[in-house]
Amino acid sequence: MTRRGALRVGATALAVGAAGNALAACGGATDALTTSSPGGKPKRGGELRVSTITGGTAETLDPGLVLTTPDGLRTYAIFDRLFETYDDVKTLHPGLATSAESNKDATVWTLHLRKGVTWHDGKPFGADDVVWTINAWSSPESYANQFVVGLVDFKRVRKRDDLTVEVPLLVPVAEFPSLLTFYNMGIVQNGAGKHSFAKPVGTGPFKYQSFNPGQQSLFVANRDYWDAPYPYVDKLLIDSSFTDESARLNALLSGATDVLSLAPPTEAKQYEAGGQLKLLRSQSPVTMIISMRMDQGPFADVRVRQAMRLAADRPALVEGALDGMGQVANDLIGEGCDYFAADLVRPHDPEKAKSLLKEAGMEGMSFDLPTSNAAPGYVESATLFAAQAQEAGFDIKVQNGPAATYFGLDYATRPIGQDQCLCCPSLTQQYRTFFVPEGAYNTTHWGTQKPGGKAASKLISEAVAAVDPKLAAELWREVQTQQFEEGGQLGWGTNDSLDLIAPNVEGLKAGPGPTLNNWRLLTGWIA
Amino acid sequence: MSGVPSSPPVADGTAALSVSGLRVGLSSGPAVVDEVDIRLGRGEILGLVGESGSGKTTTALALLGYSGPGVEIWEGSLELDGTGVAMDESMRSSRGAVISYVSQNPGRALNPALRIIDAIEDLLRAHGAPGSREEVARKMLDTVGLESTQAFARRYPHQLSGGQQQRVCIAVALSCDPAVVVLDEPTTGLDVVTQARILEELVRLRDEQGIAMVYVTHDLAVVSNIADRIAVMYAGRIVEEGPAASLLATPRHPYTRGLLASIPDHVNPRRLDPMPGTAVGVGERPTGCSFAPRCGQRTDACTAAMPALEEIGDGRAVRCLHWEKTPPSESVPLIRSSRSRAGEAPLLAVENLRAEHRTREGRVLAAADISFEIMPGACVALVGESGSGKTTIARAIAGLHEISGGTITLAGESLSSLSYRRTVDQRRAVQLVFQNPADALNPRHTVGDAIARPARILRGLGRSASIEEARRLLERVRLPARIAARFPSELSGGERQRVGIARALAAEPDLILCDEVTSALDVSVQAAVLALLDELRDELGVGLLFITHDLGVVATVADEVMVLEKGAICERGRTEQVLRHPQHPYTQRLLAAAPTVAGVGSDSGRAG
Amino acid sequence: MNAELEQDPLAPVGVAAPPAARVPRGSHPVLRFLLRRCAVGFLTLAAVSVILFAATNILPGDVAQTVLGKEATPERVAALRSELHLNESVVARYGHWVEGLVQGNLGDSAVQVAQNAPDPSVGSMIATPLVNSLILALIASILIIPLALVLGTIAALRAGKSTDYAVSYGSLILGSLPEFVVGTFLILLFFNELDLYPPVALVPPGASPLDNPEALVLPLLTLLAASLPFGARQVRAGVVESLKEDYVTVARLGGIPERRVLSRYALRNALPASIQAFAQTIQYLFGGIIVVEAVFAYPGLGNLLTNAVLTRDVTLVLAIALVIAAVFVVINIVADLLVVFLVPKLRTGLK
Repeated sequence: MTRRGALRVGATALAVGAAGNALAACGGATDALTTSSPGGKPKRGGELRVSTITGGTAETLDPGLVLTTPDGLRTYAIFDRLFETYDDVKTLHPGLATSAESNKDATVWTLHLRKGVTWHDGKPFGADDVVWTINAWSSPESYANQFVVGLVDFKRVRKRDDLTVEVPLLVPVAEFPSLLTFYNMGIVQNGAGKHSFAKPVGTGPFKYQSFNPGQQSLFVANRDYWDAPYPYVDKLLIDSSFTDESARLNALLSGATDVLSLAPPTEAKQYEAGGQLKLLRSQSPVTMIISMRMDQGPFADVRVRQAMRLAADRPALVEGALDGMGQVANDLIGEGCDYFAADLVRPHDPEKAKSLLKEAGMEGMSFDLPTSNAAPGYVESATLFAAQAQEAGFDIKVQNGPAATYFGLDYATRPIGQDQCLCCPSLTQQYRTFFVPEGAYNTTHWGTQKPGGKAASKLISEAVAAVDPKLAAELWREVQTQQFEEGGQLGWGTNDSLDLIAPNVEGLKAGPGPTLNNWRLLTGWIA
Repeated sequence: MSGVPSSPPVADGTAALSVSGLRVGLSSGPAVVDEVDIRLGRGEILGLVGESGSGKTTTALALLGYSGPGVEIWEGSLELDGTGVAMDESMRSSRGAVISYVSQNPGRALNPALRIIDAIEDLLRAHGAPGSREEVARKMLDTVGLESTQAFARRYPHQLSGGQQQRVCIAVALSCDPAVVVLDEPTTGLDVVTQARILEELVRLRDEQGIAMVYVTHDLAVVSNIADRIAVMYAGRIVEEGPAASLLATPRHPYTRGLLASIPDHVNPRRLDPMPGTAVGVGERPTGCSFAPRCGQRTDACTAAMPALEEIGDGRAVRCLHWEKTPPSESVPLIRSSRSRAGEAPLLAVENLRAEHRTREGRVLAAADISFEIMPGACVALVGESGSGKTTIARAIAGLHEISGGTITLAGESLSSLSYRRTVDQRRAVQLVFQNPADALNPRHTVGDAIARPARILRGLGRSASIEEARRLLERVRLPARIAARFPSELSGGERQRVGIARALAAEPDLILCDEVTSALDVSVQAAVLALLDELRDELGVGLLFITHDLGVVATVADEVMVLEKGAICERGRTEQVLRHPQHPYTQRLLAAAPTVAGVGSDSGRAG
Repeated sequence: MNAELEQDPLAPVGVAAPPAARVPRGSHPVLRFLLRRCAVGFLTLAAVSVILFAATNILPGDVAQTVLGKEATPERVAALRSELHLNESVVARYGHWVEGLVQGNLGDSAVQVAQNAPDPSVGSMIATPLVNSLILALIASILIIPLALVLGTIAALRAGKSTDYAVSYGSLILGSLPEFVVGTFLILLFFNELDLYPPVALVPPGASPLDNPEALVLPLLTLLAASLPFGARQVRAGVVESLKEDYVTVARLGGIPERRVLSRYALRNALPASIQAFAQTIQYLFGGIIVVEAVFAYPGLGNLLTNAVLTRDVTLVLAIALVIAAVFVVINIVADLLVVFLVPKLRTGLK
């Protein structure tokens, strides 16, 4: 069973009728379209107030349980990860680890930790904390578990010295450090249990001061932060009490808040030109997907899947369903990562789709496409696609259902549905998540299709294990070609990352991450 | 023991109140009151008498410079205690202080949220009365014959009986020592015994304090007991005025005479002589004498111009060109021929009837041990105060109140006390006519429907036959057949009550139960309705159970009378017998208190 | 002539004699009334609690599954089930819950338990939002009552004239607009156009909504626009009726100044009916507050309820619903008590 739904349900179910709040993690090296260009020398002091749509009473400060945007913002304020990603999709910046290296076949990884880091309570940070945290990921209760289960040999993870940790793997993973950047991977203090997060102690740029789920929470600058001069502001207020998108915008317009994390596309477009508000906009690798189940049902025939992919008019979908705040995608996920096959482009060819359908003996094929406003653009794109696909001879009935249960019971079993990919720094993470039989969100059931399932899985494992860059490039090319020609994902576009900020807020940048250049509030300052 | 004015008015030349040329009209046009002049000496009681629509209440309110919504005082000059005052809201400071007002319904005239002492103190405060307000207020309670203890003074209106409430109203009115009190039907809602006491009280107050009073009423009998002078109003004008005794003894206006002839009297039971026609409404008044259309001595001159109020000596004035021709009142004694034949079986037999009310506190006995018979064509009266159980008995006979004991037999057949267990024919045979005809008629059904319905349901007539029957019955009760198309709200009270009777007749009943059918009607209308009922039982042989509190009515219509006290019959017998020689103290008390016009002008006939 | 004689010479059967027995006997009857109403209120709440508990617990599936979503691992579901006592019978769970209620414990938030939150108790989550909402409701009520009385009385006095039509139709139109429309319009007018008042009423942690009264202006105006019309119309109806009463005419004919006639005679007797209307208005206000809090991002109970519903936090929804029901019951008791105080007939009739 997947936890994907949990990720989504927790976040997007809340955004009823409002813009999405899904913690669609992203990856994909793309140029930032906008930045909040620093207006002079950064100033210290002041309070930065960030508003998000509420995560409700499910909000938490436990990085292992982060589900929603406010959770992400808060845990990024309190905790650090071993490696960080920002500015682009794939670059790993040193975090609490300064570097990592593996043995020759990438089955044992050594992490070198940063020296001189102290916890908010004054204790020194060290290898024990990392070993403790990695072991905590072994619990299925932690959402970090899904990214490392089956890879890390938890029992053998050990401290080599105070600043060195050895992580043996069960299978070779050439890009293992890229799996350590996700928002559930925050490093917690040695011994931290579930009751430690009432007053969490982290190493991050801000210290906990107060927190109530679904309400405002307060943090103060960690003046001993290792990444000086960050943070600039003295206080950070994260307000997740908003249930209504227009109230949030009004708060920003009236100066009651400074930052609108994850702005809805319509509002973003309205203030794109700048002036009253500043828009942080960046391309992102978060891809909008119509996911078809390959192992059984109407989409088991590859010709039907390809016909579907050919039937989509992608620019029209981006314009119509994303308000133009996105880019065309070509069914492959992982844009911006190393080895990404950006040259594979899907044409819009309804005629060919029609003939494929005819070949498959499925002319005039009729099916239901379940949708909901679980994320912005779902209902619009489903409706729009249904109309486009008519030309190719599909008869699609769009079934708009409740958002709360959209990623529920039948998420992984239905023949067709909508989805989004995460923002991941490596194809390894993307494919481990979406295309291995035990993968958390393998809704296309890649690897179980007959024939060829086993071989396809094996190919992915080989690509993940390939240490030699040339070999890796070849194998990933093969993986993606197979995906492009046979896969069940109709990825038609990527969502741009959008945040609106007050004119006097400087230092915040646009980035491919879900929001605020992958949650980097520490760079912001008040002019 | 009835309150009779023993001393003449204390007249000293200055009028306590004088109004002249009073004209009050509707904002929309027609006059309601016209050409009214009133002069009231100190300590004098003027009875202002008229039927509904006569303008008496409008006049009374105008004396305080007040007109209700939609009504305006057009003209008139008023002097109070010799000082001229404008008849408008500027009179506010005089109201309550120089001239005060007591309204008809004491239960509604008192602010339910105020303790009675606060009600009095409010008035004292408004007029800046000197001294301790509480002391004065308590004294006022004493003055009107109420307890002046603090406990009593702190009661709320709902904790008082109707009579006590009216005394409080009077205490409020008198609290600032006014020169004039206007009393608008102050005893109409009260039972006769209480009424008699209040009247007595008023006379005493007048005697002791020299307060002048305008006593507005529709009841000549009441006013005959206390008024020094009487002014009779008809269609917005005073048609006759004079000293009470002389006016009642020798009415000069044909309307006054007709009114007197309409009053049923228990002292001198006589045949009522209803006036023809009905009173004209505001805005429908003819040129010339308003009473001309109903007048037996009308000439062309009468309809040409409005006659003036002419002084005819003896302190009397009359608005009639032919007042000299008005015949003296005649009293035709009632000759009651027994309509029942000996040996005939009774129409209705009630034996040992017992009925209870269910209340939150439990069962309360409403009537017990009631036995009586009604012969075909006979009229039996049930007399008693409100709450004596008389209505419950009628409802039990009609099948609307479950009895807890006894039997009801109609023409030899036993009747269930539940209407729905009765056969259609049994239901047809017994009909009930209610006190308030307005409530008893469905406002959304035309009069024709209302009458045709029982004919269809209970007699099985077809649609057209029942409509034809309705028209016939309307004529039977002396209403024009065209009324069938009207709705109840378009009719006058008397017309509605006739419709109610017509509806009862539509069932071709053997027995009609009349529950206070005339108590809401003007006397002249009452006379006509009573005459109609009398005629019906003569012609159709219908038996009547007549429920009333009015002994005059009993004397006029009933063959037999039963007096109910606290749910039990305390006295019964032939009507003349009971009224002449009451045996039971309760009957005696009722009779003593009942107002009468008999003997006014001669000193012999006073009740008591 | 004396009063004793008259008291009830012919006291009929079935009509209770009015005099001395009904004189007030100190505060005891009122106290007894209060206790009786509290008992009824308590029973109401008990019934409400059963219905609410049943509604949230006898749903298909169970709470743990609902809270965790369908993706939760069986182990987590099992763990949460035991933490929430879901393995016990519904009756036993209701028993636990009521036991907690009696001790002033509203239970634990299912979502917070699922999140391993250190303090999952509903009580601590509800306290501040409840106070915030009560502050908003209280200020709104304090404004609505006199305004409704004044507007209603003015409309009643001018019944049938243009002022009356203005007040009546104006309030009808205003009252029929949904709160979010009014709220949005007020924001457009007072913030976007005039820049007079802030369009949100955020309350920083630890602060009170009263620290920044300016921010409360628009939420209060919205609540007023939504609730005042009903109150004013009820007052108008009451005053129109009482102005027709004989005692008002009699008071005017007694020379009592008009202002006093209005306040002490007309309004005073229209008040009991108005109080019932105000009770309804304030209860309605609580409904409106849920919308208004969302529009103005005000951290109150409505916002919390919205959150709870969105996260399917059944135990929190349950607790909030119960708290709101309790507030309704209290409002009703207060209203009844006020009416009893204002209507002597009721007060003296108490036993």
